Amino acid sequence: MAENPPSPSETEVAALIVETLQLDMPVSTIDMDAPLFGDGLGLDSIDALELSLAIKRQYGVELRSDTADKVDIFRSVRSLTHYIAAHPPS
Amino acid sequence: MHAFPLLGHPAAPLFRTPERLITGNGVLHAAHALAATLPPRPIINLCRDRLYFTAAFCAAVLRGQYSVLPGSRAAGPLAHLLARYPDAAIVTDADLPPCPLPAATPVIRLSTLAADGTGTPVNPDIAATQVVAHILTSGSTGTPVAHAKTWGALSRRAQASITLFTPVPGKVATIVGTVPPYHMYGFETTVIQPLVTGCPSTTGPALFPADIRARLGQGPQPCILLTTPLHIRTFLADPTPLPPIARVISATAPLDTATAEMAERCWHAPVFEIYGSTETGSIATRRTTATQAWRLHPGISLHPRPDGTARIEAPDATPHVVADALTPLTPDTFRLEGRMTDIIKIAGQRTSLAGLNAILLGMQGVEDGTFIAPEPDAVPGQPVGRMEGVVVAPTRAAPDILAALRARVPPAFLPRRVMRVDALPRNEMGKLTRTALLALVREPRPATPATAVQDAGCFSIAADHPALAGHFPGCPIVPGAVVLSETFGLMGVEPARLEQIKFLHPVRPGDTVRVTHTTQPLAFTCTVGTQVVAKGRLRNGAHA
Repeated sequence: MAENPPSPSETEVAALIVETLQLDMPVSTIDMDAPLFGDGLGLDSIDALELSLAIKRQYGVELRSDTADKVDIFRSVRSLTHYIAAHPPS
Repeated sequence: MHAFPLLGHPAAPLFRTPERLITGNGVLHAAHALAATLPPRPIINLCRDRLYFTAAFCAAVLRGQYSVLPGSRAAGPLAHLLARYPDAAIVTDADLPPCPLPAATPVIRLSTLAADGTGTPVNPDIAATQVVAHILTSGSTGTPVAHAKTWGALSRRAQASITLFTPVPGKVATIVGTVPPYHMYGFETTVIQPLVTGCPSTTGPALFPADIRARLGQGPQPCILLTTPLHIRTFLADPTPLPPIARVISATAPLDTATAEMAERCWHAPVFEIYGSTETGSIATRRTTATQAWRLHPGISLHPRPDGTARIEAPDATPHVVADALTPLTPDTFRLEGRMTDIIKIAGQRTSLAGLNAILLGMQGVEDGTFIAPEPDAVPGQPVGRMEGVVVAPTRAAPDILAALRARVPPAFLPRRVMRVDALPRNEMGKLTRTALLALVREPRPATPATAVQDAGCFSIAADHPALAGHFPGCPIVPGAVVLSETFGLMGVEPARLEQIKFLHPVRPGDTVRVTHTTQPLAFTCTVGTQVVAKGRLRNGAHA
């Protein structure tokens, strides 16, 4: 499990992921440092696309592949939250 | 024996990278340089960038070898490919998926291309019969089947479909593809079409709407958006408009007319669909909003069979029987009556339900079970449907089964959830109907009757609340944790008992949030006006 407890922002982003992608798991069980793709939550590029729209709707932050490596953005809930917090709404 | 040049228009710009245009001769320079370093083996072409993919493909052709197209870059399919092509070398421009590699498999990692050679590189004629690609599909049993593609078949098909790629007559259009080059649809349209007919193709990221806007904005104009129904629905849901598009081309799944109409209205461009398959390549096209009739590409013929399906014949290609029911209308048009139900397509990848079920039933502890495919026709603006799994497995937990499936099933087909049941609703013939399955999984879980809804009161978070500082600066939203703590305060419960929470809508500072709840089960709903902003459930016995 994560060494650091989730921050309120991270819990909120995790909830957005669960809601947008209709994952069958309680938010409290999501490890904020686990990879979103592959062995972690097992998401794929379709999920990334859907998630990008939800993030734009909720936070006004637009994801793009060429400003930062999307592998890094989607590395974990923590990194995704960090990306959203670091980018002003467009 | 006839032959076709590797490049139809070597002097023309063939790729638009985010930085510059690369001509056909640039591609040839890169391919010759790469060919000199390749081992004499077929290559498994895992390049994600279209230019790198094309250079590697051409290099293999120059060596008389073929490229194996993985269809997907996921670890499971790659493991299959490596087992099937033990003599192949891997060529990649990105990290490999986590998959054990045989020690003897050479891996060629491309980080640069030598596209700037001097002089005019050799552009050889390639025999029409030379096999240049192997593409795998999932067979009806789930075992992949390889389809060999000759240069003649690919080359002639690209020439035959040129009108689809010339929305402005006499002018080549830039193809902005959202599909990968190692999938048959993306391969034919964004790799072979440029090589043969000289339409430039864009490289660079093409996943998010912002990426697509960047690609379309770079041109050269006119641009064709070459994509899938899934991407079209997602791009339509994005409020930022796209740069001008001359034409939209969609394939991999049926495009519903409502979505096509919306796309034509929003983007002021006609929407065309391609009908085809990995086995046949693209064979026909239609404008979705105008007609039900598919028009065959020139040179392709359709021969009906008694079972309603048809045999497709094309120059330099092996005849193939399509699995769909097709009715010929005229010698060069047909109507699509129905798709074979066993084949599931999600995001351009396809697999067979029987094959997936075989994996599920082969798992230890699974006594019975089935996958449930999503509805094939999604609603415009709605997310793509995903697989679900239902199992009878008294000794195994659902997450445990899901974890085991993850190792065997490509991500696109991994079930969103696995539901455990006592028995599957098989009929007297032992068959499972979709209706019975859906009734089973959509049925509300048996629960004790809910108690009356109680009003716990209201709260409002002022704009100067300390929790708002640093929480997504510039975008004032009340943090979910604050909503929860206020809600629990009104309800008088311990937050540690939270079992499930959904934040459905952002709460702004100053909003009046009303909290209502039931005690059996212990569940709450937060609303602002008539908008539900959050819903949650707590473990019972937590009531203070």
